[in-house]
Amino acid sequence: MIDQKRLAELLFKNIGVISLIIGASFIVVGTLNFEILPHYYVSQSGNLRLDSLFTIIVNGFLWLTFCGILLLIGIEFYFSGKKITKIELNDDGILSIRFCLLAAALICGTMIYLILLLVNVVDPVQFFPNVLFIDEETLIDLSIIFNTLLLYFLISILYRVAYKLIKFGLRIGGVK
Amino acid sequence: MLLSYLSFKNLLVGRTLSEKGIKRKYILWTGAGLLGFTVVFAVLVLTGVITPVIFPPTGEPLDVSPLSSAFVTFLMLIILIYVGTRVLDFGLKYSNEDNESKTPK
Repeated sequence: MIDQKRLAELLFKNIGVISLIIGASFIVVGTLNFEILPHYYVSQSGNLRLDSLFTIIVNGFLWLTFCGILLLIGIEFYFSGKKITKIELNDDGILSIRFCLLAAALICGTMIYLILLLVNVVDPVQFFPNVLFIDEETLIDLSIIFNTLLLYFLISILYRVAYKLIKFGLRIGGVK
Repeated sequence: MLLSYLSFKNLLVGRTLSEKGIKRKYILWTGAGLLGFTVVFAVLVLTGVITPVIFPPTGEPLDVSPLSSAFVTFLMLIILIYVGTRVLDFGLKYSNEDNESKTPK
């Protein structure tokens, strides 16, 4: 039988370190080669100057956000891994470790999805088509901003749930 | 009926959980299940399997109904997370006397 407590501890610490390294290295790569950043969403208002500006800003923001989430996951998981050692193995302790293992599985999936997005293997879903803001002089494609925000919100749901599972898992196990 | 079955099952595996302890366990798993459901729904939307349509498209030139549907879905998921958190909170506070009596003061 696998020692689940040891497994959870190792998973948390390894996920933490790997996520930190990957997040930091992607930030460095993206900063050094700004032109290689993938264009997840493209503005299509028809105004070339505005479109390229919008596309660069929004996709740069998305890239930074993904790297930021990876860094946050890394920090949170590494320090939670240290707290898992304090859990006592009674009934509540076993439940606590199950919660932590669930959180680890969830965050593994999120991390893989984020890495696939960062290396441009997976295309993010296009939630809705063009939403054009029509002024007297300008035509702005708002869908690029809304798509970006919604993608960020949905990914944030994944890691927020993982945080909550860890937080409650540790509280069930009596670790502050 | 269910509780007596669960107590019997726990006895079989050598654990003696009180009725309140079993209830507490199930409340906690319900909270985790609510959070899990939220995650599954978010993943299905993220992968494009589900496209939430709450307000059908009107066909107007500046049609924001897909946008509204997407944000309403997001708000619903946030509410589900909130409810799941409250259930977990309730489960944590529910009948802690068994554990308190075990731990030395």
